Formats: sequence, C-alpha cells, structure tokens
Amino acid sequence: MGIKELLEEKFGDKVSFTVDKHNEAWINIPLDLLRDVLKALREAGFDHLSTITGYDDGEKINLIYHVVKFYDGKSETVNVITSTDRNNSVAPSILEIYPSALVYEREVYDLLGVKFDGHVGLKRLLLPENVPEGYHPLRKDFKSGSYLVSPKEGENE
Amino acid sequence: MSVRIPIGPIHPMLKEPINLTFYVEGETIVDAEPNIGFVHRGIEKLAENKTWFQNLYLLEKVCGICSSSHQGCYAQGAEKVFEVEPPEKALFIRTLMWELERLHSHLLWLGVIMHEIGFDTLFMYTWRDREAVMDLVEMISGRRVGYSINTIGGVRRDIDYNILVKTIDVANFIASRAEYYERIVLSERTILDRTEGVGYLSKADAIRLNTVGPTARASGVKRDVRYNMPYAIYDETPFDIVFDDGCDVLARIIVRIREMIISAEIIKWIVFNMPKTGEIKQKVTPFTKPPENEAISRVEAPRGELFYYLKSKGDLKPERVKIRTPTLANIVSIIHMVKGHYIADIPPIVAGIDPCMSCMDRVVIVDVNKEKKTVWSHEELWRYSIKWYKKNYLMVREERR
Repeated sequence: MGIKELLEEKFGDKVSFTVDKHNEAWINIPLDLLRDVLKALREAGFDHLSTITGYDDGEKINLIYHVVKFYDGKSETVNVITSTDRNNSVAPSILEIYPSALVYEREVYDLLGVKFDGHVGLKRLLLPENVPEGYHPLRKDFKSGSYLVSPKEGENE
Repeated sequence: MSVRIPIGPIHPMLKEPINLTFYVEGETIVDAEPNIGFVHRGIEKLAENKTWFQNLYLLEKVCGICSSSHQGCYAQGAEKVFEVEPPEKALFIRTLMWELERLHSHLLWLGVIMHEIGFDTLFMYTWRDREAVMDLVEMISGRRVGYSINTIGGVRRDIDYNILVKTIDVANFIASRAEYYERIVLSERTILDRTEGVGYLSKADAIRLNTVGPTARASGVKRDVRYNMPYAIYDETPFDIVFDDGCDVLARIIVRIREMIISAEIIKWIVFNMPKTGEIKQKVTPFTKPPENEAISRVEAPRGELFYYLKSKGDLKPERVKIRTPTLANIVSIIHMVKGHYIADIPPIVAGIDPCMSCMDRVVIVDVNKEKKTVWSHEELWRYSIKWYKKNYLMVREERR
C-alpha cells in the first residue's frame, strides 16, 4: 500500500497529496494533525527526519518536515507542510516521534519564533543569549542590522 | 557528585560551532550537552537578499572543506527551481570535484584524528598525501579551496585532457596510500588502544538519532545519499557502499579510509567515461527569472547528507534558502557516544564525527561543589589525555577485554 492510500484512509480529505516531477511527495495538512500524520509516517518506516524548514511568507509561518524512508538501495521522501499563525506561533513538538528534532525545533524557534509545545528546554540555538526576546531574524518584517545590540561598558575589551 | 566540564565554543570553519558541556564522575562521563551557534553568520538571511547567481559564491563560503558540496547542492536545487537540465558533461565534472573533495576531506580528517590520539607521524603522512589532491584541484579550478566551478545549469570550466591524465595518477596514488593506512590502523597497537570500543553508537541509536554519513555507516547503517537517492551521475556509476559494524571510533576510521579507495575508483570511472565533447552549461543568465517553485536538494558531502531547501516566488532573489549541514545532524549523537567513557576519550570521540577541531580549543573545568574554575586549553586536554593513557593503558585494555 502506498503512502498516499495510507494517509487518505486514516485522515480522509484533510490531507492534500501532490507528487512533483522529481518524484517527491508534498503533503499539506492542518496543524492539529501534525503529530498524528508524522506518527503514521514513522510507523510506515519513515524513520529519518532530514530537517524542519520554517519560512515566513508574510501571512503565516510555514513549517516543512522532510522525512525519508530508506529501503535496499532506494528511498522515498515525503515533505509534510503545515502552517501556524504569525502573531501567536505555536506548533506541537515532535520530540517523542523523532528525537533528532531536538536541534531542528530549537533552530526554528530561534530564527522564526515558533514555540514548540512539549519541547523540553526550548531556547535559542544559534543567536547569542543576550539577544532580546521577540528578535527572530528570518521573519520577513525583520530589518537586518536592527538586532545589533550595543555591548555594555567593559564587555568589549 | 558530578563535575561539569564545558568544552568550546570557538569553531570558525563550519556554520555550526559547538560548545559541549560534559558532566563527569571521577574520570567517567555521565552526560553531555551540546550548545552551538558561536559564529553564526546569518547566511540564510543574507541569501534572501542576494540574487540566485550571487548566492552561488556566498553559499560555497558556508564551509571551507566541503565548499564544492555546498555550491553543487545549491546549483542542483536551483536547477530544479529554474527547470533546466544541466548537460551530461557538466554533471561529470561536478561529480569529479565532489569526489576529489571527499578524498582531501577524509585525508584531512584522518590526520586530525591521528593527532588527537597522539600519533603525529600518520598526521604528517596524510597531510602530505593530501597535497597531491590539493594541487590537482588547484590545476582544475585555479584555487585550493572554494573552487567556484558550479553554476546554475552546469559548470563554469572545462577540464583539460592533460589534467585528466594527471587525475588518474592522483587517484591511483591515493588508493595505494589508503590501503597502506588501513593496514597500519588495523595492526598498530597504539591506535587500537585509543579507538577500539571508544565512542560506541549502536545501530539502533544511529537510526533513532538520524545520524548521517560515515558516522552512521560506521554503525552498520547502510545509508548513503549517493546510493539511496542517486543524483547527478551516481545512478550509472558503479560503486559499493562502505559500512562497518564496529560502531566505534576505529570503525569510523576504517569506513573513511575505505571510502577513499571507493572514491578513487569512482574518479577513475568518471575520467574514463567522461564525454569528450559537448556543452558544459545551459544558457541561464543572471537576469533569468525562475518560475514560482520550490525544491529540495541533497548531496552526500564528505561528512554526510547535506540538505538544501529552496523556494522561489518568481523573483531574481530566492524567497527562502534553508541549509542543513551534516554536522548539525550528528551533534545529538555525541551525547550518546561519550556516555560511560573517560575524559581522555573526549578528543577522539568528538573528532570522530568530523567537526572542525577548533571547537575543542578551550576547556573550562568547573567543580560544582567548590565553584572553582580551571581553564584548560585544547593543548592541555590533549597532553592530559595522552599522559593519562600512557599511565592507564594496561587497565583500559584489561577493562575492554
């Protein structure tokens, strides 16, 4: 049974499934189904999470989970796309399904400000600790240079 | 009573520098905590403000060692976005550069790991042999690092016939040296003492933690982007996937050495089968606007699966460039590798996943109870580990038996 039939049987028409010409599947799902869909994929053998891509399209924050299934000499990639609100960005954490999401979720939180519900110790990954809250440079309305924090006296020596 | 040892954080060569905090009880490590981002340069944000063609030269600066992997991976993804097919000869030249890069990266790493365990003779040998590859890439591209050979729709330079002849010589030379190194590593007691059974990562853990590249293959995970998701010309190239069931640092050394032999074979195959004539690039000008599109691109960089996600909104500039480097994928596995090992094993284990070594440059030892700090340089940790093993190697040998 293909992954398309599996997901359609489980989630009905809530998921939309397209395959591009490079043979990669792109699935659009609502945010509340994220954990269930990824769990179903994990059980179907998609055990490799390549990364979590987040991007801001000006209206909402999109999250793409790239999962891969490896089997003798071949592989199958599924890209699960979901989106969250821009002002109140919260997404469920998938730490218990994919432990490697530990660093990827922290990266998305750091650069785009998406809070992952259920992530233990969610803090900045790449930016320094003294960057104020609410500074998320990959958001489209962020002006490069505005994050320059002037060092305190004596700190720069 | 556990003592906290932070290691790091300077790591200027890669996108992700690391600072590792180790919790130790006596000599044994009980936990570790990675912390990265000390020289974050904001390349992903910068890439959104540059054009598709300017990004070619920005993104090869993400990493000095695997610059061609980054540029090639980006070009490959951009070709999917632009919907152009590069000519076959371009793919051959691109793949040749990728494999030469793998050769010199693995030779560099082999020198680094030998230095970490105090075997400096092999470090000198491997870095001398690496110069043969560096000279060759300089002959092909004009530079030792950052070859700028890829462009969207093909490659920028053709390779001269005389250089191809030279390439065969270099491939033969490196293959014979790699066989020699394999013999040395497997028979030299000093190396076996420091690497056998060190940094154990079981196959189940390697899959669960999504490790990539030689680190995963040394744990018996048969996954290689070249093999499982063939790109460029890898679907026609005959080669064997290298893996080892050792799960320790020794297996990581063996996997990388054998990969060098396989790479040399691939290079020879590429040279013998490269089309003699033909275009090297499709005509895509810097003012070509791509359609609204998105694409993912993967290559097997020397350190493992390198991942790019590209999105276009039909502008001259990309909407989003997402990079996931192999070291980021492997960082979590360090936590599992170091548990139960000695402080003296930190250098070979951390070097084992092939990060940049300057992350080891400053070690602070903090005694939690006394609030007292002692700062160790990497040099001191290195001396300490060699001295410790000189004193304790018989005990360790007995323990591992």
